[in-house]
Amino acid sequence: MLALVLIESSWGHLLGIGRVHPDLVLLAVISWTALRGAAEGWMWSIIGGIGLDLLSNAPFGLSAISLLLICLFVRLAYSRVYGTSLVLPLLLTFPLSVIYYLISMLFLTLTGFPIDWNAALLHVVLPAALLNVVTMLVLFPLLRALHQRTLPRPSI
Amino acid sequence: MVSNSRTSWLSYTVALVVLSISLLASQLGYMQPLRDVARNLFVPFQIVMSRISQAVERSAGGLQDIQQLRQRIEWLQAEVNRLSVENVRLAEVEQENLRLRQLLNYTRNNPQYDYRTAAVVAQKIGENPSNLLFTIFIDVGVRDGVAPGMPVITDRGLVGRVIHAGPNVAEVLLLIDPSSAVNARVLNSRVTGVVHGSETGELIMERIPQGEVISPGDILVTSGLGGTFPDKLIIGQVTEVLRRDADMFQTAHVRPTVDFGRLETVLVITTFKPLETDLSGSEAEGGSTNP
Repeated sequence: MLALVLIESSWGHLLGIGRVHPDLVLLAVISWTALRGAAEGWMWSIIGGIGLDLLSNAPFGLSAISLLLICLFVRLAYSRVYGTSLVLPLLLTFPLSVIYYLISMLFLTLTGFPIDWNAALLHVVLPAALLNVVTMLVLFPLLRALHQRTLPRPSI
Repeated sequence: MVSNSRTSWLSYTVALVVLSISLLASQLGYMQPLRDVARNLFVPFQIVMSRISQAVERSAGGLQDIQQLRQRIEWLQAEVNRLSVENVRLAEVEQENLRLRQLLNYTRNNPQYDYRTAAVVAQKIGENPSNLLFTIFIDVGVRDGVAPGMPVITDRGLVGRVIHAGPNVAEVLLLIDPSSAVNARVLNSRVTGVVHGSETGELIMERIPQGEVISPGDILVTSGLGGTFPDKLIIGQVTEVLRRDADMFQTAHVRPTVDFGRLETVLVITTFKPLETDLSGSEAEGGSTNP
């Protein structure tokens, strides 16, 4: 997770289009919660969120709280069923990306950062959400492979 | 089963409460030491990754003709930049000469701000992972003489200002960040206004008095008002002017001379001492409007 944070910080401009880059940590949280359930998803949210918060000038905890709330939404969407199909995470990525940004923007506004909501929605949130959907097509299969390799093997 | 669910909900709630407290603590500045320690730990990884990304960017050209075209464009851009800077300098010299003739006691303000003799060269090693905020990390810090408030520039113009300096790493608020605000003036007409960033990564100049004439193509430089930036640092070029009779001020869209998407090496002007040391200062003082 920390590697994803570093990739997002150091290679974000290479992975993105224009000034918008995919939110790898957010996508990893959505994917891992879908694959492994809420308990591990929350852990990834906290680790990834704190990592992002350490490398940001935004109020500390903002990313972690946003990711925790996203994790909650994924949990609600999946209820008690977890699966390895790409379809549901892909369907969830766009709305959850928008929600993630709305939560972040709300916190930033509340803490005094000047956010132009119209411009941010049009030029950042929507392009980033679309880019996240495309990135999810690549990232989810990778994380699914990691999930399958790291599954605890049943003892005989 | 119910117990497990309760435990997980409890841990979730506890995590949210702890993070909310940390959010409040960071507003009071208590989390900065933790950030300093973590960022210092990240620095070696960020340096390695930024070198890899630079190498990838440089070798990504592939085809020879694309490479040659790129080099040609870079050369032309460098030439345009050099000529722009030269042009600005000559225009300034001309106007300065005029003023000197008029004012015998004139002495140039703040000669110590000459960045050619008082700068620290730094490499960009990372950027803010959020798409909503525009800050970068550079590989110099307090040990190199860098302090909060110091302006950061490239040969093309103003990049931003240092908002936090750790021992080996500093965080720079870019000019294009929505919370950034710089007092600016038009080079030739001396029209003043405030340039700030936006979520789109563009620059907008506001508070231009209605009676003043400003046109596309005008070059903007820092005015030095407020004492948070040296004067005469190039900001960008006006691309569009929005003028409505009902408004008190005009607004202009500005294309920055610095390519913020391809920042690698920057200079920190270490001799400049900003008047306002509190970076949480209010807008239009050339600093950040962050809380």
